[in-house]
Amino acid sequence: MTHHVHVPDASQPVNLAAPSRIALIVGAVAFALFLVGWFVNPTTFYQAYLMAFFFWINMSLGCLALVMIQHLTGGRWGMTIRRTAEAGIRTLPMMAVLFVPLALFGVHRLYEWADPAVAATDHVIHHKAPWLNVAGFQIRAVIYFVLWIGAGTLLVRASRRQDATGDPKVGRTYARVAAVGGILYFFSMTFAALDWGMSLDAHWFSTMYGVIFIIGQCLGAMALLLFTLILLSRHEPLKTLFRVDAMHDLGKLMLAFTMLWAYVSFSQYLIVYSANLKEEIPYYIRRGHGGWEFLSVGLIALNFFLPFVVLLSRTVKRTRSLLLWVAALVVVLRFLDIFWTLAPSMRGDSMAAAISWMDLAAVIAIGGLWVAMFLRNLSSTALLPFRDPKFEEAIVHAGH
Amino acid sequence: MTAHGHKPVGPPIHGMAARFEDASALTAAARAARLEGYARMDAYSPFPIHEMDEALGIRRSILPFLVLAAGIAGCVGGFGMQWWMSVVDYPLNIAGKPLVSWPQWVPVAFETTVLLSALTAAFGMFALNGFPMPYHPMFNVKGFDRVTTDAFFLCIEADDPQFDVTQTAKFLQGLGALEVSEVVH
Repeated sequence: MTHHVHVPDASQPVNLAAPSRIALIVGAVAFALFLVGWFVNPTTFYQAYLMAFFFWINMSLGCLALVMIQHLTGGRWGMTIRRTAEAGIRTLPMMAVLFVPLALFGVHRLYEWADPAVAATDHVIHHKAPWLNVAGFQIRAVIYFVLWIGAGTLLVRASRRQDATGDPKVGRTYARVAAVGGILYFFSMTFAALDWGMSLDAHWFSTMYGVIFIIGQCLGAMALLLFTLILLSRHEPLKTLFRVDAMHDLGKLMLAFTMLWAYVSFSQYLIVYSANLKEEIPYYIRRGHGGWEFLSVGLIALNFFLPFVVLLSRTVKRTRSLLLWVAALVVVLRFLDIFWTLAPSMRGDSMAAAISWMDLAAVIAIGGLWVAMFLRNLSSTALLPFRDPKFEEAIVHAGH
Repeated sequence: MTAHGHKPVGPPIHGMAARFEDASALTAAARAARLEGYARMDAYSPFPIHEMDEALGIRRSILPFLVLAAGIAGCVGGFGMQWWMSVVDYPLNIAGKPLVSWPQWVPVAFETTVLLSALTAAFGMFALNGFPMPYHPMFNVKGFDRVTTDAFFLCIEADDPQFDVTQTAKFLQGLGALEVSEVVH
């Protein structure tokens, strides 16, 4: 096209030091408060820690999954979120450090299989002991983090090289790492969900469990990235370069992940409901009584129907101020899913007795650190892959 | 088929077609024609032009709402069908479950929802586009077969209240058209 378009410089990082510092302060204060919880009740403390940890590492790993998906499939949407998602990936080393207390101390308070007395007497747990034992739990956690941080580092390093040199061969590195890393991520995340979440009910099993986490991660990360990008688009360069069409695409993907999350969650329920086996059905019986039934219905209504209906609207997906709220809602509601999945397994039959102030404190504590790290990472590179060979076509000239 | 320089007689025509150099010229011409007050016109190009809907003043299609209605009908119909089968027509005790075991109906209701939505989207699109349409007056325009490769046409249609054979032809000429011709039925 002949008409001139003013394009802001996308190569300069945006300074986010101030919000990063605020997040760090909030996180540190919440962490201090949360640590008091350990003296109140160490078991509740580690339960809250586990849920908050899951919530935030889901964001990190969702970023990793989305980046790998987009390297394999291409598309303008990936160009828009790539650098922001990479900032999320780079929180993984911090999350690995935050997992240490769980691996060393929390494991004994959270999982009944970690108690040698139970493992010796309970027939089923005894049978599963070759997998469900403390040393195995710790070794596997090391393997998971090595795989995730390894794949993430290779991708981020390739992006650094692209920003510095514009080397077109970076695209092949991306594709190779994403292909191998994607497969490894799928398996490792399935096993991590089994180790950290499913084994809370050591007698219970579901092959859908890991998939539900994986889809939940993609959904949460997509919502968080969309939220971040919309906020950043109040200023240049994203004010110009984060176009409504790109936002529309991301909104559609958030809708798709919302549906996919409902699909896999319901699949697990339908299989268990239909078979009605005494090894499987207690999981849902517990979540259907003692107040948990309200959370279950609320989860379906708020995590599926509400975003589904709202995101069907084209106007919502194309209006920044509206989509910002939907994305924020989806992010916050991810915790409802985590709580629904983990809390009944850890805290018993009554929902009223299962809610603790520590849950909120833990989410804000780890969240403050996560957001601070995320924003710091985001300030260290350009917000868009400005030297990608397809950047001009996908971002600068999109819609012209 | 066109009369040179003088007002043609005979059957009323479909409209006045103009060929343009490229996509941006076509878009600019459509915008100018709308500013001039023309409302009934259409553009023809080898590929979709992003801004053309807005340039031609085409309103958003009602298709999404048809698809939504069909989806709801498919969902209600899918559930209703299974309810009627399991509760009214052929009640069976399966694994001691209540007759209204609705979770098991969800997959079929989901499929009927998707089926009806997809069929409505496809056939609704055809219907709203006026298909099937084996004949169109634009086929009479000289060189119109090139519209699938490298030609860009704007046709102001004769049923536009402002349409006037001489005036409209002159107007299109003034927009930088490469060629202007009447479109006969």
